Amino acid sequence: MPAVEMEGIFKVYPDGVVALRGVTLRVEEGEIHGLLGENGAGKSTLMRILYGEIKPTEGRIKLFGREVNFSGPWDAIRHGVGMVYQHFTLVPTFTVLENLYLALLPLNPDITPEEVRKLAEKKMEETGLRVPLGEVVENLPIGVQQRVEIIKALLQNAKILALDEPTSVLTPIEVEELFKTLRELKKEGITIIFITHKLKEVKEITDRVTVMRRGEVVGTVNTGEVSEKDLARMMVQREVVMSLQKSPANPGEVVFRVENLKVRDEAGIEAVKGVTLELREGEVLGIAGVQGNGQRELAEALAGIRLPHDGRIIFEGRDVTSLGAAERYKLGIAYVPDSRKVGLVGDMKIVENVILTNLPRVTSSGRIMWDAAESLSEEVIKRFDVVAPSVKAPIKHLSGGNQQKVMVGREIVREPKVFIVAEPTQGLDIGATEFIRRTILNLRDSGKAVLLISTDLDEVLQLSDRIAVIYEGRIMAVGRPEEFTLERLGLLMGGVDA
Amino acid sequence: MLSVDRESILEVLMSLIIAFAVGTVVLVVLGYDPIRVYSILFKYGYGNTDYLLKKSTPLLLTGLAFSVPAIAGVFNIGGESQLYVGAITALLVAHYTGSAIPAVIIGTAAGALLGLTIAALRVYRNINEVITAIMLNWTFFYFIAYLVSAKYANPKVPHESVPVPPGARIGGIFFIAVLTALTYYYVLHFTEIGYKMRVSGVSPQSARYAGFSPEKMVLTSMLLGGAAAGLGGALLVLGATYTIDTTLSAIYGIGFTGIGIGLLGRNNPVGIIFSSLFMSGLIIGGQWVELKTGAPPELADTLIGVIVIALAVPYAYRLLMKKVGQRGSAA
Amino acid sequence: MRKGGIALALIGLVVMAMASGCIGGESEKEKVKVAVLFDVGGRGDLSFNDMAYLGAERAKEELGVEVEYMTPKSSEDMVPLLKQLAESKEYDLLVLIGFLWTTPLDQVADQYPDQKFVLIDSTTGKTRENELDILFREQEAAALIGVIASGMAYELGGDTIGAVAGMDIPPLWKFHIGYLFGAKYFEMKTGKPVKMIWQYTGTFGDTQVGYNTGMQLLQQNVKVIYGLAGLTHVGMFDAVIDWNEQGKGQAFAVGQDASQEWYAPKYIPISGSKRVDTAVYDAIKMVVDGNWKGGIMTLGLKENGVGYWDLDGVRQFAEFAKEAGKLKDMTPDDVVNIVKEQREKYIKPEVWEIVKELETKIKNGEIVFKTPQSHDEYEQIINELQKGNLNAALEKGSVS
Repeated sequence: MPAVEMEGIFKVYPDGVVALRGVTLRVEEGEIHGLLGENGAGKSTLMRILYGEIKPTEGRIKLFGREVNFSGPWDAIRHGVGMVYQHFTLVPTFTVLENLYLALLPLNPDITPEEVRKLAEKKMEETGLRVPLGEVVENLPIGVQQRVEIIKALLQNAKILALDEPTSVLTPIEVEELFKTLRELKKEGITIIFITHKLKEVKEITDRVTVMRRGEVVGTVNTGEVSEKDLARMMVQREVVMSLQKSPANPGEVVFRVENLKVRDEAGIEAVKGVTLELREGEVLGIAGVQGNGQRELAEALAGIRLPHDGRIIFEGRDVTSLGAAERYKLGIAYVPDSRKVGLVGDMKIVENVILTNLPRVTSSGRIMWDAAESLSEEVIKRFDVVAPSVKAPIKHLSGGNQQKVMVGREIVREPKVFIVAEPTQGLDIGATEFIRRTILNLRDSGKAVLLISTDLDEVLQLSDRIAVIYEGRIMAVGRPEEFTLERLGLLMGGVDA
Repeated sequence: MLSVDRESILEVLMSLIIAFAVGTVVLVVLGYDPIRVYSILFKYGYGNTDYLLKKSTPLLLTGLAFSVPAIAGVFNIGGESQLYVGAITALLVAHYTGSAIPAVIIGTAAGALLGLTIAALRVYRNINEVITAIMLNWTFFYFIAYLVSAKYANPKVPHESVPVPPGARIGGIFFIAVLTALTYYYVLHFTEIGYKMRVSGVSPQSARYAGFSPEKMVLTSMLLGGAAAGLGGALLVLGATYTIDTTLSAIYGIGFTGIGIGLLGRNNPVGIIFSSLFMSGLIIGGQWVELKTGAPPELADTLIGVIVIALAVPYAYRLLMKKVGQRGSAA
Repeated sequence: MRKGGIALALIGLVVMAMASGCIGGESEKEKVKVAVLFDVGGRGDLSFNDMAYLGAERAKEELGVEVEYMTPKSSEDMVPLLKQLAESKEYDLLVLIGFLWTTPLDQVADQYPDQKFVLIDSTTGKTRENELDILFREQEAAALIGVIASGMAYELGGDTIGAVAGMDIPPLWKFHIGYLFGAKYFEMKTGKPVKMIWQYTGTFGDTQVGYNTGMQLLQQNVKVIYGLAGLTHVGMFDAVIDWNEQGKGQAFAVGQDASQEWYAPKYIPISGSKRVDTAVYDAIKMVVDGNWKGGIMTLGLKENGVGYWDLDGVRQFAEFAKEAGKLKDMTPDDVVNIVKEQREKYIKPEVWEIVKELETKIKNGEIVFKTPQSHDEYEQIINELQKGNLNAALEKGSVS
C-alpha cells in the first residue's frame, strides 16, 4: 500500500498564479522517494500541502490508504507526517532536550522533560542517530542541528519524513552522514521524501524519483533504471521560445575580470568557492544555476556590497577588490539586485528611489538638489516607459513591472560600463518581461558589458552570448549557447560534470 | 518637498475625535462634566503663552531626540539621560563661566556624546540600545542627584543646586528649540546625510546596496538626537528653572514624554513643534483641572494618556507592522 | 511622513482657537478662598501632602472657607503657576506645601504684594509683608523621641538607638540635635548609657537603600531606629519587620511626620509628628481672623506643631491607609489596639515621666533649642552632645 497518495492536486494562489496543475504523487511505504525539479517547479508547494501548511485548491490526499484533510501542520504531525525544512524551526538558545520537550508538549501536555529524555535516548539507540541532549542548539554544527530536527520528527511519531533540500546547508562529510542516517531510517520502516535539484544525490540515495516541471509531474521512475542524463532531460526539457530578435554579438575588450573569487555568506560558510570569469564589452554573460548556489553572494561581491575573502576583481585593468559599492558605482559598475525589497525603498517616493544609487549626480556639497533629482527621475520614467502618476508618488504604489523598470532604468541612465543584473524579470508579467529583456539587449548592443544572473533558464538562453553554469559556488562550465544542449545544462545545474 | 497628505490629516483628525470622545466617556463615567473639564483644560492649558512656550521647549527637543534616531531605525529611549547630562553640564559651565553660550554648547555636546555612546555600543558591541539607555537613565539620575545634593548644593537653599548666575540666564528658549527643529527638518529632507538616515531607517539592506553604511547612520542619528536632548536640558536650566532641585523633579520624565511627542508629531520635526505645544498645553491645563473641578490629578493624567494613545497608536502600530513585515520578508 | 506634521499643525491651531474661544470667568467674593499647592507628587503620600489636605479640610469645615487644590507637575511649573494664580486675584491665600516651593516663591512674592503666600516647612530667608514661612522646631519632637527610643532600647535588651536619615540638610540637622539630646537626657536622668548611630542615606526616595541601611544598623545591635528619610525609611521599616519575623532579634522602628504606626503596628509603636495640618489650618485662620502677619513663624510642642502622635492620630492615619488600600489584613481598630498594647509594654511609666518633664520644660520656654546656621555649627553641637554637654544644644536655659 502506498504511504502517500496525492491525486490531481491543483494549487491556484489568490493572485492567480498557478503553482500546481494536477499533480499526482505516489510514494510507497518504506522507500526513499526523490522529488526533483528546477526552481518554481512546484516541489515545495506540494510538500507544504502534504504538511498541512497550505490547502490545495483541488485534489485528494491519502495516507496509507485513508483520505485525510489537514487543518494545519499539527494535524499533519498527528497523522505521522514529519517535515525538515532548510531553515530549522529550533529555538537557538534552548538545549536540544528543551527543544524536543517543546515539540512534544502539544502532543502530550503531561509529558515531563525526564520522559522526553528517556524517549529520545531510546530513539537514538534504535536509529543510531546521535545528538547531544544537553547542548544549546546554537552551539551545534548545522549538520547536527538537522539531526535534531529529524529526531524531533521521529519523536513526534513521524512515519513519513519529508526533507526539503536537506543537503544544501551541509558540508560533504555531513551529507555522507545524512545519507547514512536516511538509509538507517529506511530500515526502520520510515518513508522518506527527499526534495532536491541535485542529480547525483538522487542517484545515490533514492529508490524512485518523481520529476516535476512547471507545476506538473513529468514522470515517476525507478532510479536504478535511468541515467543522470535522462533525469536532466526530464527536468529541463522545454521549447525555447525565441521571441526576441537578437543581433549577433560583437564582443570587444575585456572590461571586467574575476579571478578565483571566494565569498562567504552571512553564516560564514563559503558560498562562492573560487569563481573566475571574464566579461567583454558588448556581450551578455549569463550565469545559469539553481537558486542558492552562490549567485547572490557572487553578485554582491562583484558590486562591492560583500567583501570576498580571497581572489581579485579587475575593472578596466584596475584592481577594485577593496573598493566599496559606492566607489565601484562611481567608476561605472552598476548592479540591479535580485530583490526589489533590497533595490527599492518601498515607503519612499519614486524620486527618492531613483537617487539611491545616483547620489553623486544630484548632490552638491552634501545638499540634495531636488530639482536635478526630479528631472533625472522624469528621464527614467520617460525613457523606460514607467507608468506613474508623478515622480513624487510612493514607489510601492507602482506595479512590480514598473518598479523593476525604475530599478533597472536608474542604473542605465548612469551609463555604466558593466551592468550586473540578477533575476531581472522575476514575478513580472509578459509585457514587462519583454521590455526589460529588450532593454538588456539594447544595452549590450550599445557596447556595454552585461552580467546576467538568473535562475530562469529560458531567460539565460534567450539573452546570453555566453553561458556559465554555477553549482555550489563553482562555475561548472562556460561556453556559447550552442555548446550546451538542454540535457547538458540540466546535468551541470544538477552538479554533474558533462 | 513640502506637500500635504490628505490621508495623514484625516488620520490625525480621526484620532483626535476618537481621543476626545473616549475622554468624554471616561469623564462621564467618573461623574465629571466633560464640557467643563475640557474648557478648563484648554483655557488654562493654552491661555498662558509664556508658560506654554517654556514648558514646550525641552519636550520639543526630547521629541526630536526620539524621532531623529527613530527615522534612522534606532529606538532612543535615552532622551531622559541625554537631557540630564545636558542640564547638569550647562548648569555647571554657567556656574563657573557665568555665561550662557559655552553652557549651551557644552550641554548640547554632552547630550550628543551620550547619544553617540549608546549608538556605538549597539554598532560595535551589538548591545541593544534600549537596554543601554534604560540603564544609563538611572545611572545618570542618581549620579546627578548625588552631584546636586552633595557636590554642588546651594549653601543657601540646600535642596537645590547652585543657581545659574543671572548673567547666564537666557530668554526665548522656545525659538531656539524651533530653530533646531527646522534645522533638523532641513537636514533630514534636503541633505545627503539626512537622506541616507531615512533610507537606513526604513531599509538597511537598501542602504547597504546603495553603498552606504546604515551603522554609520545609526551613529549620526543618535548624535543628533542626543544633541537635541542635551540642548533641551541646557535650555531648561538656563531659561526656565535656573537650578536643579535635589529630587530632580524639574528634569525627570521629560525624555519619556518626548517619546510620545515624537510619535504624536509623526516623527517629523515640524510636526513635533506642534505636538510639543499640544502636549504641553494638556499637561499645564491638567493641573488647573484639579484646581477648578476638585478632580484628582490622576483624572487629567488619564485624560492626557487616552488622548495621546488615540493619537499615537495608529502611527506606532503602522511602524511596528512595518518592522514585523521587514523581519518576515527577510526570513 | 512629513505631511503628518502639517496635519498636526492645523489641528494644533484649531485646538488653540477653541481654547481661546472658551475663556470666561465667574467671580464671587464673599467667602475666603484658599488654594493649597501640593508638593510634586501630591496627595496619597500618607504624609506631608495628605496632612496639608487634612488641615485645609478642617479649615473648610470649621472656618467656612473655600479651598481648592493643585498638584504641580514639576518644579519647572511652580513659577508660572504661582504667577498665574496671583494674577487671577481669586485667592486670599496661596498655601505652598514643601521646600520645592522656596525658590519659586522667592522669585514671585515681590511682584504680587497683594497676594498672601504661606510656605510650609521652608523659608525664603526674606521677610515680606505678604509672605509667611512656617517652620517647625523639629528638635523638640526629636528630643522626646530620643528619650522614648532610649527607654525602649533598654526594654528590648540593648543600649543602642539609631536613625536612618535622608540628606545632610538643615531640617535633618535639627532632628539630629534633638534626637541625640533626648538620648543624652535619658542617660543623665537614668544613669543608663545610650549609644546612638546616625546614618545619612543621601536620598528620600529609595526604599532599597533604606532597607540596606536599616539592616546595617540592626547588625550593629541598634534596637530602635528612627525613620527620617521619607520613602527611604519605609525600606528601613521593612528591614525591621524582617529582622523581627526572621527571628534575628527584637527591634523597633519609629516613624516621623505622619503617624506611620499602621505600617507595622507591632514594630512601630510610635511616630514623631510634624503637624503640617496644624500649620495649614493656623495660616488660614490668620487670614479669616484678619490677623495676618508676614515673616517667619515656628511651631513647636507648645503650638502642637510637633510632638508624637497620640492614639487618635494613629487611628486617623490608619483610616487613611485603609482608604488607600494599603492597610492589609487589619482594621484601624486593630492598629490602635496593637499600638496601645506595645506602648504600654515597652514605654514604661518612668520613661513617660522623663518625657513629660522634658515636654513641660520645652513648652514653658524654660529651654529653647539652637538652630544651627551652618554645617560647622551643626557638627560642633553634635560633638559637644556626644561628650555629654547637653547645654551645647540649647539657645536658652540649661539642664542638669
